[in-house]
Amino acid sequence: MTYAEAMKRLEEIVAALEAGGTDLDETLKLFEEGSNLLKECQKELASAEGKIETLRLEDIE
Amino acid sequence: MAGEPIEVGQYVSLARKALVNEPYLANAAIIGELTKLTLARSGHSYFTLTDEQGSIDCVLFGGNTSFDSQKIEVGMNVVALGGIDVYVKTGRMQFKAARIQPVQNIGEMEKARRELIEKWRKDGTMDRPRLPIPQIPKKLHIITGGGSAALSDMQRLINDRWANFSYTIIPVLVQGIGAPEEIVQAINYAGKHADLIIVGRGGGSPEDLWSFNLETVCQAIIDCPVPVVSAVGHESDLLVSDLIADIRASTPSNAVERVIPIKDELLDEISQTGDRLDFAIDNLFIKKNEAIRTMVLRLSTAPMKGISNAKLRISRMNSKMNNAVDRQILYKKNRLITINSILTSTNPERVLDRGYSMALNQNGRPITTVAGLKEGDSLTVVLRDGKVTTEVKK
Repeated sequence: MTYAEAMKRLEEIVAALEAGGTDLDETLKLFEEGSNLLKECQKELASAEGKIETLRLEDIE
Repeated sequence: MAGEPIEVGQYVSLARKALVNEPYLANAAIIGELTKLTLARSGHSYFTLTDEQGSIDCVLFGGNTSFDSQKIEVGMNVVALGGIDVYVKTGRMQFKAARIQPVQNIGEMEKARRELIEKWRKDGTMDRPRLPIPQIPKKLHIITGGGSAALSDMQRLINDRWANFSYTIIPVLVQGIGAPEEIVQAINYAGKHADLIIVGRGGGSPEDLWSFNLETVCQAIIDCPVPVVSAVGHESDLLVSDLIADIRASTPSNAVERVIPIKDELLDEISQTGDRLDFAIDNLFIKKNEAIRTMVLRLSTAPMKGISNAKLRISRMNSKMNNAVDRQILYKKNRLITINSILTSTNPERVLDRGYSMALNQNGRPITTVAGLKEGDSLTVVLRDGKVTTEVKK
């Protein structure tokens, strides 16, 4: 799941919880999913970090 | 006064040495009319370049395919890249070419550019659907002049927006003989390894930028399975690559602004979403607790008939509730650890600590818009260290 997809789903979850009306099981499921998505987003940011590589044209293909 | 006579071969060898060691002669691009051409069966090409003032015999080893593929014929103006050499046996001077390329004048080049745009307008290439850009590129490849100002500008800007951001640079020639081939080679490679490509260069004369008007370079961008950002020259320069790329950036720096997110903004987005999730769940649990209390109250005043049913329901609900609360505490503990590590490692001040506040309505829900608010409505404002109740004035 990409960062954008995770954020979109999180927005849906938060909106559903803010609107209320979900039963207890559903609420907990949504909360768990939301918590996991937040962790995923954090991982996505970390995975974009690392080194800067410079390739030489002679070395490719 | 000449010294002792030396052997002619030795003399020519010395002359050769002097010539090939002269940097200006050893590495040059020469331009002239192709007046004689022999494509030998060995694959080597022997030819002569001539202008009003001079003429030189040239050789391009294994050059026949280069002449064929570029349709170079006698009478055309060509540029040859290479260096001087002397064939000692005959004392003949010749130019050893490494590359050859036809010369077009600006009029011909401009005509070719217009025809290219017209062709791609007609066949729908211009209007084809563009590839979506990843919000966080993980394998960005930057194709531009090695050591160029454009490259250092882009690198500085990426670092400002997101320190430690990972990407790959493929330095290429961006102008002159050999540039289009290098750009195409780099695009083809990046098409297999990148998730986003920025190809471009800084400002220059129209001739300097011309590689980005060429069909070979533009076709490579069109065929590339990975989204390509065209980032050539200044704001006012419009190249064919700008018209056919997935994104046109006005300058190399603009390309970075368009595709590299600001890390702090993403961190804020994550932590704000986390706060909203916490607020929402808190409110829901407060309400469910109230429902149970109400039921206990009703039960205590209910008539004896049916009391066992009600008792059963309440005990079931209570145990469900207890489990739920236990689970919730566990989740929140984990969430706090995660958020804490995000915040302490990169962004130590929480949203409320920085002076932001959150307004809740009478139902305890966050207010995100002024729509629906009336004068006299009472609001709860949550600050870093507590809550206050306020009233809407206007």
